[in-house]
Amino acid sequence: MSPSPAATIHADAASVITMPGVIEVIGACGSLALLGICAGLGAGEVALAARAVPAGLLVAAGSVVLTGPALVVAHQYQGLQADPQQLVSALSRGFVTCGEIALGLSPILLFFSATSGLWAALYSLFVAGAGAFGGAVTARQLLRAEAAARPAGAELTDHADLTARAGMGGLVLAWSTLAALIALRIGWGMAAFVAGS
Amino acid sequence: MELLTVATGLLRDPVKLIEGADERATLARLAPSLLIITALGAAVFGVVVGSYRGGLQVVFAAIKMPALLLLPVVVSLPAVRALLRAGDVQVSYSQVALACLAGTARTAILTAALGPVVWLYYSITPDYHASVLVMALALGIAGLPGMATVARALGAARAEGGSRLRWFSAVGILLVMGLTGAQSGWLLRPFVARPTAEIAFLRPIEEDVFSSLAATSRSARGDYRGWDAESEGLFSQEQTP
Repeated sequence: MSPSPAATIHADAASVITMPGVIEVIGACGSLALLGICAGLGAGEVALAARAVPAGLLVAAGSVVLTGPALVVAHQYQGLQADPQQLVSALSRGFVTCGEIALGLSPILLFFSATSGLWAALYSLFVAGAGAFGGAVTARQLLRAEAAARPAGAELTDHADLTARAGMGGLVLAWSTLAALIALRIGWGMAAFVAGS
Repeated sequence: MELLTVATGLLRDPVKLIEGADERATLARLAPSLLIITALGAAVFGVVVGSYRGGLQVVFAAIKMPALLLLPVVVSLPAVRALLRAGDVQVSYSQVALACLAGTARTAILTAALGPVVWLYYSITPDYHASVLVMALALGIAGLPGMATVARALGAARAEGGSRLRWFSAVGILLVMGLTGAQSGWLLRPFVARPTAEIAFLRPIEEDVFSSLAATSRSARGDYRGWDAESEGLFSQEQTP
């Protein structure tokens, strides 16, 4: 007997999101700081470089820390089913992905810092890019966590199931928007801090 | 003989050439051949490009052209892998390196094959700007199959996994490769030296490729300001007038 479409979807989504280890999170922080160091090398001034180092890390970590509690609270308030720990794991996975991409982009930023005056523009672009990837990964993991938490017997036409899907989709969209706006606000403040104004 | 076999494989079916159960062993086996093919193919194209100015520029362009193809790959490799992993495509450094090296070597062979066409055009002593454009066009034509090779080689890994985010990853990879490729070309210039210019292996580090493009766009509209480049970056040198 072949499984129903709903059962298949749930089986695909049933991958439990593992919480990244402390080392992975510290590594992500270190990678974002490394991106800052690579940018700072192109700044030409020691003071400017020193201020540039933590900027990307503060933008990425700040947006996660400031929006994470709101996400968990809104999720529980809406009566959705994923375990709050899974939500935190999804947020952490997104942050770790952001760090991994920052680490990969560091040699490119170092290359541009060493050979051009584009360090500030590219630092902003790369932090935004790494953050966008981190956000996208988080959003996908959140949807996956909610799908995995739904009862295995729920049908696609089940009203409650459809409502839950729409609720989670709306929550993820709202969280993404809030996280992007907060990251922009912190980024604006960081830009002013790095520029020394 | 090994080089000819690898070159033929690169042209006929590059993905099949780099397939192997142990990608590290395949990389170790193929990397020397791929690097030599890249160096030879790009050097041939460099000789043709340098022939526009002639003299020592022929040698300089032949030396720099392989670096123009390899530098962006080396600088972008960690970012390419990180972006692929973010798209749930689980690839090792060896797989990414092998795919990129194969793509670069294929591009180098094709640029060498386009060399006679470029030389024929240069032989009618065209305008300097037209010569640069033809060089860029030839690199673009040869680069597309190289990029396709990388995409197909990593597509094998993609078939084993990957989410919809992989398209996001592909855009990111194109962006970082494009950025590093453009800046590498700017750093390693001149390739096509002006007939009246003094021959130099490298020009001083100044400004960046985008400022040059902006100045070129202004010049095309008859505004010749903005060509006074300033030294910037960690490795830049103070310029004295």
